Formats: sequence, C-alpha cells, structure tokens
Amino acid sequence: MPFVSLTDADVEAMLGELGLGSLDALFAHVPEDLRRHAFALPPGRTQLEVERELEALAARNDRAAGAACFLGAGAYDHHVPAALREILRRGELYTAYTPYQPEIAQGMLQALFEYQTMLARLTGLDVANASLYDGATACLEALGLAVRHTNRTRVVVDANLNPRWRDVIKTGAAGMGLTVVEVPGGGLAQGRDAAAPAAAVDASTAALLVPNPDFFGRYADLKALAQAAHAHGALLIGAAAPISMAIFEPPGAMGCDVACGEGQELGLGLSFGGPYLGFLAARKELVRRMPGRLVGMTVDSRGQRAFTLTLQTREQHIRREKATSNICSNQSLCAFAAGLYLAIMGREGLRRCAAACLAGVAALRAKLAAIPGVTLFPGTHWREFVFRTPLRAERVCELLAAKGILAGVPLAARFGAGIWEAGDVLVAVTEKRTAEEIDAYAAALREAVAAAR
Amino acid sequence: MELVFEKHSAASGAANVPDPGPEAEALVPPELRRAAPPALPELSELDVVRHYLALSRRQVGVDSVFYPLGSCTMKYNPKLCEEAARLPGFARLHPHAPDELCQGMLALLWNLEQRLCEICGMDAFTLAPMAGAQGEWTGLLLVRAYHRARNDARTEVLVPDSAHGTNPASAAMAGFEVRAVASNDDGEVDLAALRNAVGPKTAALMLTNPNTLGLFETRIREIAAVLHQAGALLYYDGANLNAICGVARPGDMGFDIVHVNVHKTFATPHGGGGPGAGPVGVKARIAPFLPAPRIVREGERFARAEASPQSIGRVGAFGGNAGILIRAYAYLAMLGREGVTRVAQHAVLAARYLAARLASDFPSAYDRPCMHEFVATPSAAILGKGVKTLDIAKRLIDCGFHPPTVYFPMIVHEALMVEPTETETKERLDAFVAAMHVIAAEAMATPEKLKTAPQNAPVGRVDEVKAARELVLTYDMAR
Ligand SMILES: Cc1ncc(COP(=O)(O)O)c(C=O)c1O
Repeated sequence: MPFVSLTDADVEAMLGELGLGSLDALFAHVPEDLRRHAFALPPGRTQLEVERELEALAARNDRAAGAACFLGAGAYDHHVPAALREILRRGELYTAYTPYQPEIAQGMLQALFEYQTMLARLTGLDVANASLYDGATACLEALGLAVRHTNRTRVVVDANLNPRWRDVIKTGAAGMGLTVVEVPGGGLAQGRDAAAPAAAVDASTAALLVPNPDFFGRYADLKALAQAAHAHGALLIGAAAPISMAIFEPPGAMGCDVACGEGQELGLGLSFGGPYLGFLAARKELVRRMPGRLVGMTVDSRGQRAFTLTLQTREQHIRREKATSNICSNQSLCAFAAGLYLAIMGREGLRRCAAACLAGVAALRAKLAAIPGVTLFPGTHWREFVFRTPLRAERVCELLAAKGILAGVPLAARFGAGIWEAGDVLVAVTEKRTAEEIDAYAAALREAVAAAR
Repeated sequence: MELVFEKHSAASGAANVPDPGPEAEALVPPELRRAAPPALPELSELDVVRHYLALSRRQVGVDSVFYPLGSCTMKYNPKLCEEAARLPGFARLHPHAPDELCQGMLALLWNLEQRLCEICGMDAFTLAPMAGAQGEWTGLLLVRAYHRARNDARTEVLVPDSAHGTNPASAAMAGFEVRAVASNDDGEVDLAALRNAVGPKTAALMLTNPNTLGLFETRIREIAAVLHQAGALLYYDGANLNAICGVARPGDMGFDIVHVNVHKTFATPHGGGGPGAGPVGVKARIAPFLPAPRIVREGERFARAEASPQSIGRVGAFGGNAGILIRAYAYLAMLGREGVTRVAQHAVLAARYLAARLASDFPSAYDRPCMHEFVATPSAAILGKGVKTLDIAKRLIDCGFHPPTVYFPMIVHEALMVEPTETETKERLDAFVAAMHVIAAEAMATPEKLKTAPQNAPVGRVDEVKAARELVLTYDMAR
C-alpha cells in the first residue's frame, strides 16, 4: 500500500494495545449507516503507471507549452533560471508548514524577510507582506486595507485594470461592504486618461485603484492621481508589474500609498494559472491594517539575529472575525521563489529583462505597423499592446497557432464586451521571444490579413 | 547568518538575459523613468546558491523530521507528484492557451473534480479556490447567493467555539455576522445551544468533522436536521478529511458545501506556508452558483466554460493553483480506492495509539476515542512546576521533533494538538512517545531545561515580543 509506513505486524500490535480487533473498530463511533464500503474510484496504480499517465496527459498540452508564447493578460512567459528551479526542490523548505516555530524555520523566515525587503525596494514603499494568493485577490485585499484605514467604503477602480481582477473585486465587494465605482481610464485610440479617475474621487472615497501598466500594457505617470486622491484623504493604490520597476518609476515614487499585483513574472513559470503570487506593499503607517503574514527581525535568547512572524494580532488565528483578512495558507514558496529570482537576476539582470520586454514590444510593433490592415494604438507600452485587424481576433490566433505561435489573447472572445473590438488581440513580448519568432509572427500575420482582404 | 544584502560578489544575473542595448530604455519618457535602480542583491550565481542552501539548513520540513502538527496533516509529499507538476506540458502551459491545445490539462482537472465528488459525496466541485480559507470564503459566498436567489436574506453564520480562526474570519469577509456555538462536555457541538442559536437569520453552520478536537461529531445527522429544518445550510471545513476519507462522506452526513485542503489530505506540500489549494464541492442545488471557470466535458473534449448567470463570479484571476492540483491528482491516482481508505485507517490508528501511550503525562482533554488527531494537555503535576505547553514544544525541538500545534483550539487550556498522520513508522511514533515522557520527567526534575529550550536549534528561543514591539519588517528598517 503506497505511503503508509505501518507494517501488518505494527498494525496488529497497535490495535492490540488499544484493545481493538480490527481497523474498522477504530470507526465504531461513526454511525454505521454513514460508513460506506464502496467508493467508485479507480484502483491504485504503481508509480510507473501513474508516471506514464501523467506524461501522456502533459504531452497532450505540448503544442501549446512548446509554442512561441505571446500570451499575457495576467501571466507572462518569462525565463525561469535553472538555479531557482534547483533550490526550490529542497525538501526542508517546500515540505515545511507555516513557520509557527521560528527556531526551526529560520530558513523560510529569513528568505521571506529578504523578499519583503526586495519588494519594498522595488516598489519604492516601506513594507511588503509575505504574500497573498494572486494579483486579483491582492487588489481586493488592498481595497479592504484602504477601507479599514479611512473608515470609508467607496472605492474607485480604473476600468483598465485586468478584467479578471475586476471580476474578483466584484465578487468580494458586497461581503466586504465595498461600493465599487468603475471609471474609464482611457480608450485604446485616445491613450490613458487620468481625468475621469481623478474626478471620481470624493470625500467619501477610501481608495483609487489604478493599474500601471494598464491591461493594455500602457504606462502612465500617476502623480496627478496621487494628488487628487490625497486631496480627498483617499489612498492611491497602484496595481503594478514588478519587473517593469527596474526601469520605470515605481508606485511609491509616483505617490502610491499601496502597491499590489501579480508576482508570477518573478520566476514562477506559467503552470496553467497557478500557483502564482499576490504581492502587497505599503507605506509604514498602514502596516497594522495590512492583510497577510509579516516576518520581522528580532533576536533569540542569546542575542543573535533571528526572524519570526509578527503582528499576528492582525490575523485570523488570533483576531478571528475581526482579523484584517481570512488568509491562512498563502503562497509562501512563491514569495520565496520571487526573492530568489531577484537575488539571481540582481540589479543588472532585472534591468536587462525589463528593457528586453520594451525592445521586443517595439520590434514587434514596428513590424506590425508595416502590415496593411493592421492598426496599432498609441502609448508607452512596456511588455504588452493591442493590435486590430479586420479579421476576428480568434481567427487570427487560430491561424498563427497552426504555425506554432500563440499570438495573443483575443479580447472580445475571452473577456466579452469592453473598450475593445472583435478584431483586437492583446500581445505580450517577454525577454524570451527571439528576433526569429518576432519575424515569424509578423510574416504569419501579414499572410493571414492579406488572405482575408 | 548574513542576509543576502550583506554579501557581495561579481554579479552574474546579467548573464541570464541578452542586453537589448541603451536604445530600449530610451523609449521610456523621462517622467516615467526610474531615478535610481532598485537596490537588489549583487551576487554570483554560486553565492546565491550557497546562500539559499545555507537557509535550507536552518529549516525543517516533513522531509527532515516527524512533524505531528495538529490540524495541518503533515504527511509525506510523494516525489512523483513533484515531478509531475514540473513536466513541461504542465509547467509551461499558459492559462490563456486555447482549450483545444490544453486537453491533457483539462482532462486531468475534470477527473480530479470527479474524484473529489466521489470522496466527499458531492455533486459538483470547483478547483478555483487557492487555499482552505479561500474555499471557506467561496463557500460562504455560495451560501449567500443561494439564500438570495430564494429571496431569503440571512445574515448570520454559526461557528463552534472550537472552530479554526479562518471560519469566523471568512464568514466576516463574506459579509456575515458571526455567532459562536458552545461545545458540550464531550467536546461536540452542544445541540441545545445550537437549537437556541439557529433561527430565521441563520445562513449556515460551519463545522469540521471530526472537529478541531479530533472528535467525531456523532450527532451530525441531528445537527444537519436542525439546520435544514430552519432553512439554513451546513458547511464542511475539510481540514480534517484525512480522518474519514474512504470511510465516510460529508455529503452523506448532510453537509451541503465542503472545501478540501489538498495540502493536507491529498499530500501536496505546504511550501513553508503555501501554496495549497482549497477546492469546493456542493450539492446539486448549489451548483448554479459556483464560480468561473467551470470545466465541462463534451464527449471526448474538455473545455472551460463561463459560469451561469447566477454564479458568485470569479475568486481568482485564473482557474486555481493548477500546479498543486496536478500533484493531488497524481497522489490519488497512486492511492486508488483501497489506498484512500487505508490512509484514514492508519491515520486514526496512529493518533489513537499516541493518545493512549501519552495519556499518563499528557492526558487528552476529552476522554473519548479520537480520530486522526487529539488534543492533550500537560498533567497538573507538570503545569504545577510552572512549565507551559510552549516550553514542552521548544524542548521537543531539541529532541529532533517538530512540535505539535500549541494553544489551538482556544477552548482547551495549554493545548497540545497531535496529528501523526499515516506516513510515519511505529518506531518513530514510539520514539516520540519516549521523548515526551522524558520531557515530562525533566519538567518535574529540571524545569529550567524546558524553559531555556531549544538549545540544539539554529537559534535559541526567539523573542517574539520584541519583534512586535520594535517592528523591523525590512532590512532598511533595521538600519
Ligand atoms: C481546521 C482548519 N480550518 C481551516 C484551515 C485553513 O486552511 P488554509 O490554511 O488552507 O487556508 C485550517 C488550516 O490551518 C484548519 O486547520
């Protein structure tokens, strides 16, 4: 029997010690009619058989997993360094529970403390927590933080935030007592617009949540929005992309009080949508209202530096229904991996990665601009942009997929109605995309559009 | 040990990415440009590897030691499951890849849903929630949506006083008022108290079974009837499913909604605090409210479907922690029908055995047969020496064991909650028993030894009070 360690003799001896005649007797106080004897599950299989089955299942995804991936919209195909993958397999780390016994969990605690420091430095804010579930829930939790801080319930959300993240905010809003006001953040043709978000903030507003870059890959200066929010006593929350902060002005420097978002790009790989990493950083003044775990530095009984979970009185296991969040298990190993990624890449590695995305986007845009029938939109695009063709976007993606290129996300088909049209494709270009892949993309698109004309 | 910021070597991170040249950055308008680069570590790859390896030596996991952490089900995490999640066809699969190109992934997830339905006695499952607590929150939003659809605005969620902290916290986050229900002297839900608490405002009762004391709620059918007669729902916190998987099903007990913690029962690793996954199962009448995406089967083809118009919406950006769910699927595939039952049998046997053998020095808080875990307290004699449960926990570290859960559930004074799981040998269980009795003897003879423990850990007892009082949450706050 796999993964049990008691021998038949052990079982017999232990049952004997308990004065029981059989394993079934252990469940004697479970009402007889609740005990079920037949489960419709397949019989157990050997490791070899299961390995083969999983390899076969994985292989059925190989065309997608092996394609030139220009997909984004919340998850990005960045390179995962080999050293990161290697370290993540240390059993001491990944088979540990939450570090409630700090004396034997210094490894994870120190790594999370280092992660918190790196995230704070990257975002230009004072403190970061030790992870939330993903970018979407990080936004929801950031809004909750603002509500607790301001004692107000109205929150303004720039509608150019990732639509999936907006969905999650809508799912959670009523239960958390939030009134969500979505405002347009600028159409594709006009470029980003700060006027509507700024105008929507009033004296009853807890927070203004603005993406940077926005869902369409466009970067904007948020300083005016910070002023508008602060003038009304509201917080400015920037939903941001960590790698971009190597070269772009980070949320803290633009006046954001809170930065949150998705940390998947920091070495986590794609993995069909998870596990990823919700990050949340904030000004020091907000720390007691923050959700999620925090690691602090302290000393041990001998006066040596040591680390421990701290400010636990914010958390569910102590504060119960009054906690700042219900989160318990979080995405610690993903935060660990993100810190490790940043340590491996260092200042220059991350700068190059961010710059390579910019360069890749510029190169692909230049090629697409030369194709008759393709429309591009203005803006400072970092890693993502939208183009329009007269074809339906799904059709474009299908045609390119047949050539081993995952061309992007067809916006209307995937996200329903929005500020986009039926021909709009959202494309991401990471440092992994080669000049050859970009050429092949442009050539395939030229052919597809020409054939349709 | 040094922090990563206190080491310097010839940085090699640049070698990971081709240099796009200065023209690229010139594309950033000056007002959007970062003034000074972020102060990230500058290290060679070798020094990074050494740093993190040194960190791993200051950490223990299930792979290192016996880890009888109650309520957490710290069982062995099979290595094939790790390999499976890393197969390129899974690990490199983008969540926006078209369904036609991820049939293997969707088939796996669909089959996992079916197996969870069978194990829990439910009609439909969503894999979207990313941990147990998120499953609770999802489940409570389902409760809310279900009552709303019947024009029944119920505002209260009941939780036993022994409940895990996430239960009341999730209920509050879902917009409910929380009301505690007392436990009786047997450690079960007090039916009289429950009847008093249940009324037209009651939306649901959240319950773990076995409960957080490790005791089976023997009157579960009556509890379900009380709730259902009042028009309320019964929610199952699946944290303790390891005790009954393959033996009894929450669905048969009358539970309407369940979450399972795959990082407990289904052997996916805890990751030092996460990630896990918290799939939620429901009875058919609640299925229309499940979050998107739904995985549907059309003949031999699988697809992701948007949810019904009655759905609570999305609970995460994508469909959940797929990388974790792959591991759970692989584990279940190896266990199969007989293996699942054997897990519960051996988990309960190991706990019952430990409870009996520890009882002289660490009597169980309730004198009843436990399930997969039990809550004990140090004997009056030990407590009389001024020794606390915390001291016993720290001394266990010196003996090479991870301590049990301490001070939970809150209704038991000086609680020690022990959950051995099915994956440990009898020798290891006996060694733990021996160590506990030695510690009990030390508590009587040399209590200082406990109060100054641990002595054999990477650091001595950590000053948590100072950490909270003089907040240092980043390296920069330390300077
Ligand atoms: C009884 C109980 N309920 C709920 C939870 C929360 O689960 P998770 O940590 O996966 O969010 C736990 C986990 O510690 C638990 O023990």
